[in-house]
Amino acid sequence: MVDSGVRVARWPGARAGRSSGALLRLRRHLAGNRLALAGAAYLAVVLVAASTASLVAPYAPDKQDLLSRLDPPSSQHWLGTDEAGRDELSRLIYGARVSLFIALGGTAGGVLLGTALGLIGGFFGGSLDHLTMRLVDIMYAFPGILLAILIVAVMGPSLVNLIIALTVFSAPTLARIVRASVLSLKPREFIEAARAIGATQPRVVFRHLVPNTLAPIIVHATLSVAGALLTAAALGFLGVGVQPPTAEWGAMLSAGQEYMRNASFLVTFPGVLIFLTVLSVNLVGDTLRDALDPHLR
Amino acid sequence: MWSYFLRRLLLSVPTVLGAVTLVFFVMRVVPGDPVALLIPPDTPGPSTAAVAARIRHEFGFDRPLYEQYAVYLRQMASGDFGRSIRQNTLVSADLGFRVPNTLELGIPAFVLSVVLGIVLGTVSAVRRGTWMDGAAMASALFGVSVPDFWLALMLILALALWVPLLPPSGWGGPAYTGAGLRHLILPAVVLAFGSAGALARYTRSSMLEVINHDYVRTARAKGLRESAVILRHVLRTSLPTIITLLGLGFGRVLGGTVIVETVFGWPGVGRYLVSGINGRDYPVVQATVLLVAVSFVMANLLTDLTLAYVDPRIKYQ
Repeated sequence: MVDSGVRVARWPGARAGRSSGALLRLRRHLAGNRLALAGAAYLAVVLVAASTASLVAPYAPDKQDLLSRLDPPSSQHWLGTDEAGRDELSRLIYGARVSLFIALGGTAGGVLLGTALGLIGGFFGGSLDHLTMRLVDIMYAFPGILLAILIVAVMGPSLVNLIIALTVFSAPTLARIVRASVLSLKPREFIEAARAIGATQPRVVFRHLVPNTLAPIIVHATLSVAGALLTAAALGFLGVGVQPPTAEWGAMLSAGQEYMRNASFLVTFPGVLIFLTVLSVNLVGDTLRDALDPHLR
Repeated sequence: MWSYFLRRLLLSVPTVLGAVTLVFFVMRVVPGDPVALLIPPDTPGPSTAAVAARIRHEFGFDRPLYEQYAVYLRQMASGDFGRSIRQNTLVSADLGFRVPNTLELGIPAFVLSVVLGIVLGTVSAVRRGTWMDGAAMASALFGVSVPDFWLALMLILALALWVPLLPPSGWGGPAYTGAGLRHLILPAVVLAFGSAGALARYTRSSMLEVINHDYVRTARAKGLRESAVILRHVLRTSLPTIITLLGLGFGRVLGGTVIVETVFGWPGVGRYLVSGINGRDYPVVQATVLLVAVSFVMANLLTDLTLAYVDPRIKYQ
């Protein structure tokens, strides 16, 4: 009993040691991986450009110039103009804001919902576990993209609905990861010790279980951003996502499709941007995984 | 084995039922009238409202929700999927035409992705740290990062518009005909590509776990050829993972058909579903979702059963 208490008392310290170790490992992994560094730098540029779009974009995203429709890349319009004469570069910069907002919002929602479902199922067990896992099974009964299309098509293509769709898209896998993690932690001595010294259930969950499931959550959440970006763009491409005239990468690609025979740059640039962003997220996510959760490597 | 099979089969029934119930209610409780999409209320003509009311009655939309649900379950159980609201065709007949088309696209894509994924992953694990590992993993990373709809457009641009080698879209008939095969190549390659990338990454990591075990080192130490070590010791031990990957690959290909069929104008189930969702064609969406959910759940069941067969520990857990 005393022994268990000592272990619990030492736990936060031990965790601090471990997290600084994880940070060190992350730094070492990043330093040793030039591709991941390049990915992180690229993401930083996209994030800065998206958040300062009104300052860095050369034109307003909806400024039309009908005399310059479908102009190829030039010194005035670095990436050309679209079918309404709008500057493609400016729309891509403003589009980054929308695409990243949806992907990050959807992933954050998925992390919250998935973690909650996984914690409830794993910690309480019994009928609650059965119920949450059946719910997850139902979400797994469709390909994720299908569920996202269905939700957005039925609820309407607003930003909030897109985030809800991506939340539902990314939550099931996280729920299973968190549940598995909680099930493996529950019988461990430090949890038993915490219970033995009278820790309340919320304290056991939030002070002991959640911090110890963070590594797989962070790793999966980072890699989920890539999936969410691709899905958000796919929804825009299929016409059920962000609606014109709002600039969004998938919707821009979809609109450019009609003119791709004569203005192939309209489908090339948005696609390159989606690809590079997803690639960078995957590179950073892989590095995080190697540093924080080597078992998943 | 039989009791395990029956237990798993029974467990999959509530999952499928839950999925179709969810879709039924989600489609109906959210505002939006499929008949209004078919005949907008401002359509000129004196009998617009009467026609809309007649269609609503014909499809049972004027009945209480629980009655509609009971009718829907009864119809599904008897294999009657009703009529499409927009096309007025029998949904079962539409699916009868489209399912073979999706299989014609999905099966080659699935086989291609599995072969490509497992070969790339195995080469990468066996030749870890060499240029082959780097090239294989770079291809896999490209596969999981490239949007399939963009890859499709780029391939159409390059191989159908700039260098007209293949048709840009459409279905050219059964795959054993020349035209059918030419129409199949681009969509099948796009569908296989992303899935192969993910499979290659999983295969590599699962093989790396096995490759460092003592018994593999022992096999090498006793002088076995490398191919025998990989085939008889490493791949055999990785079999459960590879079976899981096959199930995963099926799911990815099935999900991918929604996008690929739409981009390439392929008359399959995925495109039918997207058009049904956009037109709020309830019977089309419900029947297609049922079909997809049953295929998905059955694929998972088959995966689990095969796993239990090759690794008997699983069924006793």
